[in-house]
Amino acid sequence: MAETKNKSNGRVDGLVMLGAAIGVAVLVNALAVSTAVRLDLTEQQVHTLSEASVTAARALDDVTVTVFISRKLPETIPTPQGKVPLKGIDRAFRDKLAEYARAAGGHLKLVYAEDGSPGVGTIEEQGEAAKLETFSSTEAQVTGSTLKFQKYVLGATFHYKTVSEVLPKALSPGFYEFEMTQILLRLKEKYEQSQLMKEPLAQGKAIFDGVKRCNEAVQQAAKVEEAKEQDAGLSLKGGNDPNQKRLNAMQAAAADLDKACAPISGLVAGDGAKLKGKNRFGDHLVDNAAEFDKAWQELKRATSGQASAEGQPPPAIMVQQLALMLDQLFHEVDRAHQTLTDSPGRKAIGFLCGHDEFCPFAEASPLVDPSVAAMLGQNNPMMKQIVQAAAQISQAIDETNAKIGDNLFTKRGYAIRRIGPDEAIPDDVAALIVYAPRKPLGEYARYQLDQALLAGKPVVVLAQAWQVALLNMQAPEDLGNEMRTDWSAMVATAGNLDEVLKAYGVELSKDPILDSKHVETVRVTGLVNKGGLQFQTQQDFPYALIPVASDFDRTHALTRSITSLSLPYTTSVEPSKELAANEAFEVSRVIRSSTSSLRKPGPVAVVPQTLKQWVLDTPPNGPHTLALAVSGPFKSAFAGREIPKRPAQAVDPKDPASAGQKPTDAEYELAKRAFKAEGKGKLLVIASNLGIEGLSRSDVLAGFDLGKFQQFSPDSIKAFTQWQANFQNWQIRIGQVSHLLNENLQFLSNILDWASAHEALVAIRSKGDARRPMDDLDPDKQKSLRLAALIGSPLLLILLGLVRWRLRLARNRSLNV
Amino acid sequence: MKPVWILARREMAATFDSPIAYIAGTLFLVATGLLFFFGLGGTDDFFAGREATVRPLFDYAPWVLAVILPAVTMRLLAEEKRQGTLELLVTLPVTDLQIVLGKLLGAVGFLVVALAMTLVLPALVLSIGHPDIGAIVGGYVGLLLIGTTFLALGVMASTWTQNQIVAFIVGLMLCMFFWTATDALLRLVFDQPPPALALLSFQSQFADFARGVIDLRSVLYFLSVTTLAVLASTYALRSRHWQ
Repeated sequence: MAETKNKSNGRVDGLVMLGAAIGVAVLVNALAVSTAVRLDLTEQQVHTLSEASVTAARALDDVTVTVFISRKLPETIPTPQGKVPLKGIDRAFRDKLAEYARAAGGHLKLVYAEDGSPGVGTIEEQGEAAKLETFSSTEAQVTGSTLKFQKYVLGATFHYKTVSEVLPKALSPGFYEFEMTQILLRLKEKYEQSQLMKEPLAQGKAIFDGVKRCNEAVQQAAKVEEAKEQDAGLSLKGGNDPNQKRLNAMQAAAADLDKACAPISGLVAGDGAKLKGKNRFGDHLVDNAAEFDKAWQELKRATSGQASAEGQPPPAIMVQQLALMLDQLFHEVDRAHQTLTDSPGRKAIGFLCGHDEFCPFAEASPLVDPSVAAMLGQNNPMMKQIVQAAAQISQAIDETNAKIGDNLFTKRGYAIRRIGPDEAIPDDVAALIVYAPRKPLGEYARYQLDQALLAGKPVVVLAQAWQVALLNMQAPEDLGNEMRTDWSAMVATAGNLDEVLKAYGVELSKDPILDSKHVETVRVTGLVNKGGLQFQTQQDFPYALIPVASDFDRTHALTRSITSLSLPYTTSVEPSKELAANEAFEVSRVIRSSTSSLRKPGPVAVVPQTLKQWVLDTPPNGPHTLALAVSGPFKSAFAGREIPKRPAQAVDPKDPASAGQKPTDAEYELAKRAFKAEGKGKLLVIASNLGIEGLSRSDVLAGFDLGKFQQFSPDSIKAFTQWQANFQNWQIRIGQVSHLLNENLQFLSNILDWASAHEALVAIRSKGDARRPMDDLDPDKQKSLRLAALIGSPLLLILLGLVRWRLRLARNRSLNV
Repeated sequence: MKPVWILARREMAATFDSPIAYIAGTLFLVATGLLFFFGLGGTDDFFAGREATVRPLFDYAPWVLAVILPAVTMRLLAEEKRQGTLELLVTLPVTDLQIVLGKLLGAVGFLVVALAMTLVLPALVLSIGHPDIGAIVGGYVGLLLIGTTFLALGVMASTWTQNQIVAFIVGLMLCMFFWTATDALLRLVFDQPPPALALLSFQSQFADFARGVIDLRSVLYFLSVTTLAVLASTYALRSRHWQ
């Protein structure tokens, strides 16, 4: 009996102890959830907030972050670069935000959006309303007869006093710190500047609110439902024609519409007039609001039947078209208002354009004025087709450039501005980028660069001395033949950056830099015949003309955290002896090529295998400087010279009044007085275009002259075929190095941060860009390394076992003896 | 603690005297190596990625460990029970807890050797690039922790039965449950698992180690599960007195 009791007690004691242990474990873990003791072992402390981020978080006294995280994020999502894994990404995002909250010492509050109470909507809907970007997975749900992809959201909005910023899509944990710190810095600047812009912002808001009210009323009336029509006794009048129904409904709501929309004219005349001229973003908003008002007046006339004049569509159709147009114009006004509210403190980075450089903007004017194109086609339909096709190519170029600008810069939070060759650099442009011009800079553009540098605006120059194409399309000699493919071409560009930079003690060479060991691959596209069918193939070859640099100035913000960088078709850049000896200047060889590199006058044979052998057979003479940063008291290249006059501006069809305007004497006098003969400046020269080649109308549509197309000739067809080939050639050249672009774009972003005086951000961004390339290995070496690793360690373990077994046998034998 | 060390050394020697250590070790190294170089299904060529990283090792090794380690622990106590040597063991001046700890540490010795053998992979990567050493160290610490937890679960399964095969299957199921199923189960129960519960998933806990971050929460979690498994094993061992 006593034994049974003891057994029972022992069991109970054991269970109690186990239960207590579970309780302690749960408690300890629950308490630990709120702690943040972490040891970041990575070399660059990639997962720990840097000092700059902590300072940015502490600099703001009351930030609220609203976090939007979908309840069930997918495992992966498809992107153009492949599937992106999202496993654990929500935890990484929460953790990073929590780190900021801790760093801010109670000044940063996190609010998590919850699925909601009626009227609030799902987290995804709330996120969309807060201007976050949604994304989808590959999994779709079938609802009735439709296939629906589930939308997800992962992002946050940051609110500080009267201003806010959005982190629209947080899918790169490596860049969370960069993105969040950038937002915090921006919030501070934005709030401080918005205090100085209170009046224009209020005027802009008044105009926007007025337009919004009107559009809502119009759209509401335009989609009036059947039941409502019947209530109003309109259904019989309208019959079954939806446009007629709409017209009827809008006529019935005319008084309400007038009440909602009438104030716009007054707002444009009042607040708009005050806003106009103060701020270019404000100008844009007022112009769009005026357009909206004009369209509203037309709609009003159409609704009241006043517009049924001869040649115009029936009022019912006009009303439908105008209602649509108003909605589109409202979105323009909305965008313009957002740009205005976002503008305080945002400094633009200017891109010099007009010299066949990388210029991420659409051209200001169309290739051919539509009225001229119409006239041209009256006598010659064939010519009309060619001109239209050329205009389409031009439009494709504009769209590509605009998209590049939007994706690479605007969406990443940079404000960029086009600086034409005949344009003075505006005051709100904080830095100037001259991105690989392939045509010489004119006197006026050189003067602008000179004065920007001396005014202390960072000037970044990227060079492209050579254009390399491994596959080059050419128009056929005879009409009717297929396009010719000429292999391998290395053509010198016509830029004059070497001359321009010489004035500042920087010697930019035109000799290409090749490397025998540290190289990236070039992607070659070719056609292969298989079974009578042609297939397009792509193959990567190690390429001596794309050296990989890993020798960096670690003291420079740009390269402090970069491990390697591929510089396609680079040349070299060195300081002149005078500059190097001048102690007033700080000269940094930011990037240098390896000791196995070689500088040689171009052009060289560009076929990868031939070039590889040649480079291996030639003694190297590296390292060479590939990027140079100079800061100090520069002297003007125009000192003691007549400063150039601004050329007449190109025709802007949107502003005919300014077309071809020449500068007045007064303007020139003013420019002369503002001339700076010397000043402290920052200049960065990179001897490569980083693989990003400009796509310009003048390059692709080379020789386009409307005058030549008055008469049809076979040359016109040939010219047109060549333009098509030029466009394809640009795509081929970009395709050759497209696999390097991702990494190089990160470096370009570093350059922009450096130019925008956010050096702290450069180091933070580089933390996220922790790519560590492996050496170039031929397939045989890969195979032997793989085999050694796969067989080596198991073999070692088995050998260990055999040795141990033999020892045991020997020991046993000795014991037996 | 001395008896624990003596038991651990004895256990480790016994493990390496039996073919199971070499079969399990070879299988672990070959499977890890193949997954490292070719990925799951042979679709992910390591060299094609052109990146000097050991990350694939940390992505796949826990899967292999979850399968291999129960095979190492299956005999630890089940075999002693079956052969009746456990009775002999308990006559020695050691407590049940010391027996379990000794057995576990002996198996950890095997884990350390097996992980040390995989160092050939970081060595290879170091020879062809500059990987982040800190991230590698973090990953190995994570593998050691998660491996120890798998071993503790395996030892626990081994105390529940006299049959090695049953011990292996139960151990495998426990390891796989914690490695793969906690996440899925939580998502079945909750739309959005509360952060505290979401941390139950081994995969979430291991993710930081693989990135080179040692988070106190994850360390505590793995140690807690290991401690609970050790206590449960001790309880199961002690239960012989109550039968």
